[in-house]
Amino acid sequence: MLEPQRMDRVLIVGTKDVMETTINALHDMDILHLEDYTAEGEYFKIGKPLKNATALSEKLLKLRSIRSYLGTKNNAQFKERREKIARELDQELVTLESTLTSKMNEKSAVEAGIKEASHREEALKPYEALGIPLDLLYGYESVDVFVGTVPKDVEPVVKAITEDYGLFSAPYGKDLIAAIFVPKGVSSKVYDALLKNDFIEIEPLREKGDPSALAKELEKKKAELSARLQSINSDIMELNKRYARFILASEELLTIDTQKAEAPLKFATSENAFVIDGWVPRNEYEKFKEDLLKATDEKVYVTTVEPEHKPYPREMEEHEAVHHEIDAPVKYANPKWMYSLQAFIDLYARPRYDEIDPTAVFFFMFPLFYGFILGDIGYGLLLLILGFAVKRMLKHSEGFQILTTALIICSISSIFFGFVFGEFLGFNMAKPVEEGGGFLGISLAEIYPHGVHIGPIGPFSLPLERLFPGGFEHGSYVFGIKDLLVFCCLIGIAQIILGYFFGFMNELKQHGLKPAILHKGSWVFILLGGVSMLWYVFPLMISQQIGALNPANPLFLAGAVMFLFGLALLLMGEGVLGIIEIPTLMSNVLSYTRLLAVGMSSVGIAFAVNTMASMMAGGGIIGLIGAAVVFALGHAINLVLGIIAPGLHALRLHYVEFFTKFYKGGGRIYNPFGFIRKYTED
Amino acid sequence: MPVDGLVAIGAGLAVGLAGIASGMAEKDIGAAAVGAIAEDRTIFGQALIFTVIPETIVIFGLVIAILLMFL
Repeated sequence: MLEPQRMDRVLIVGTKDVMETTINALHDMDILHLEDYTAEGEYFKIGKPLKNATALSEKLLKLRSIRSYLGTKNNAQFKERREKIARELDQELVTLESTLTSKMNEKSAVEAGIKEASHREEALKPYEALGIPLDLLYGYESVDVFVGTVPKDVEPVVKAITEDYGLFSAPYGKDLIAAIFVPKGVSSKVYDALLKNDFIEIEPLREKGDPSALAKELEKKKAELSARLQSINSDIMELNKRYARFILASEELLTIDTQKAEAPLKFATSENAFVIDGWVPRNEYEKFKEDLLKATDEKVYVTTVEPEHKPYPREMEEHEAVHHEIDAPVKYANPKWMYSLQAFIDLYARPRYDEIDPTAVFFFMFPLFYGFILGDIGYGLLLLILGFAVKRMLKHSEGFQILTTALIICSISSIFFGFVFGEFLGFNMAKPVEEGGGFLGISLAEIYPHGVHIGPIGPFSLPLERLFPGGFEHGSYVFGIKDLLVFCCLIGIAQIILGYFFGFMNELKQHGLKPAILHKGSWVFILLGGVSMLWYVFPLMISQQIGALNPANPLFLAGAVMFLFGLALLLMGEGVLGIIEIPTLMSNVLSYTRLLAVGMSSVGIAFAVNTMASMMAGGGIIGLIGAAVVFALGHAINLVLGIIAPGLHALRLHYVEFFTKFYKGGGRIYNPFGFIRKYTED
Repeated sequence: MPVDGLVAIGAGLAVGLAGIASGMAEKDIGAAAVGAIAEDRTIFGQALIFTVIPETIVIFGLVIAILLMFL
């Protein structure tokens, strides 16, 4: 559980006549992670794809472009017989393609028609305003006609040049549209004068007929074309519906066949033989070997080889130490019920093969942190219901299934901590009703032991006890803030030490004992030393008795010794640069106080909402309605914040404070050669 | 418990100013991180880490405020 699935490096050797059989068998097993052959030598070359590869990928490309045109969604559920699809594939693909192409052509023709009609409509608009039949505007022997827009009446301008003219104008938008008829002799003069008066000539239409009648005709034509377009679109949708199964099933089939046909590109091949290199999970190797031999009539040779230990290929190496890292593909070895939170590890980075897989720790710690932050019975219950509802609604979305499962786990933890803190929608359930606690007259005060004191634990008395003479009192945050603050730091210290322990194990495995002690062990000593010194000094500082500091105090002395010892190790391991990192350790520990801080902000909002609602509730019927609205809305907003903020902060504490102590990540994802079939079966 | 005037102001300043400082520090990192994730989704983890590093500043402020108010 704490390490990824152990892998065996496998070599499969055979003659070329069984290559296709081997490929088919491997693909069906869906278990071998293929390793690319890159080191081409004298005998072994990179294999060539099977001979049908080009045809297959052409078909696949065609099918995928058809699918993207049609917008076929892969949310259907069905199974087709593989042979049936394979038989019909070529024929159907051709029919589908030709039908779709003709539809698409028709569609683009209609669309072009609509565009042209709109364009003509636009051009006709000024003539429509003018209202003169189009054939009267051109074709005279001795008269020139200018049609265009002018900002104001131009009659005086034309009149100043000639008395012999005809002018028709009509309002058009903000301007006027005018048609000016003048004898050819003076036309150029008139034209110049018009231009000076901001005349803008419009495109002449050499057509006949009444412009408004023409416009009506165009409108009719456009409506017809739009109806046509709609029917084509619905035809295409119909096509999508009719062929969806075929498209999905044959795409799957072609994808599988293309994968198989292109597999030899990863093999090493000589004239007559081939070698396949890859990884198989160790616990499945025996069965894998047996199945493969059976499928190929024992005509191939299967064996495991010892993988090489070497520096990690994808990073600059900082320590000059022995390397024991294997670059195998990484498959999680966690039980199924951890899958939901395992996704968050992948979000950060897949672990390396020779690295501790933190999923198991994360699976327990993340919900605990989340619950600690959100700790509220009411919110927890609401989130639980929400989680189950969304899970049911979005059955087919894998991402949401994972998220909702995580939410359900976290909300249970939230309910648990809700009881610990005695909180229900921001109401204090640990306080008896008569003291102002509880919700709607219900309080859980009886189940909380009030005034419980934590006595000395271990050889040293807890500073909790000395700092806060009241001791640890159960109840809502408002009661135990000081205790919780210290408690959060303790959680932080514990998790950081666990992080260094994992880091120690990783270093030990990858580089040996000495680097492990120098790079990880040193930090544990520094942290423990620092903490035990502070344990003694802090209460003195708070109570302003720092003068009474006694260096011979065993707690202080032991802390100082550990701290200095750790510092010496660190200097040996990382040099002076390591010392600069020490303050980070303090900020890491203090960072865990966000568990309390973010939780308090959520309680604060809930408390404010409750106070506002209870203030409004006193104001008659309207006040009561207002109170209900404020209550519902305020808690809804707080609940949304309650999903995001605790999740992000709990995640961050793991990613930043915990993982940086040991986790490098960057492993290759185990991706076996094969395909999980959804739409086809044999 | 009642918190006296100047102590309350001090606590407010501790959280408020630290919050502004975190915001200023985080804005550039956040913008750069989003840009980087847009190019390569696999670096989400690192990007998130870089973005939230300055967040600790405001937590320090909050710790000081709590110490002021409750001790």
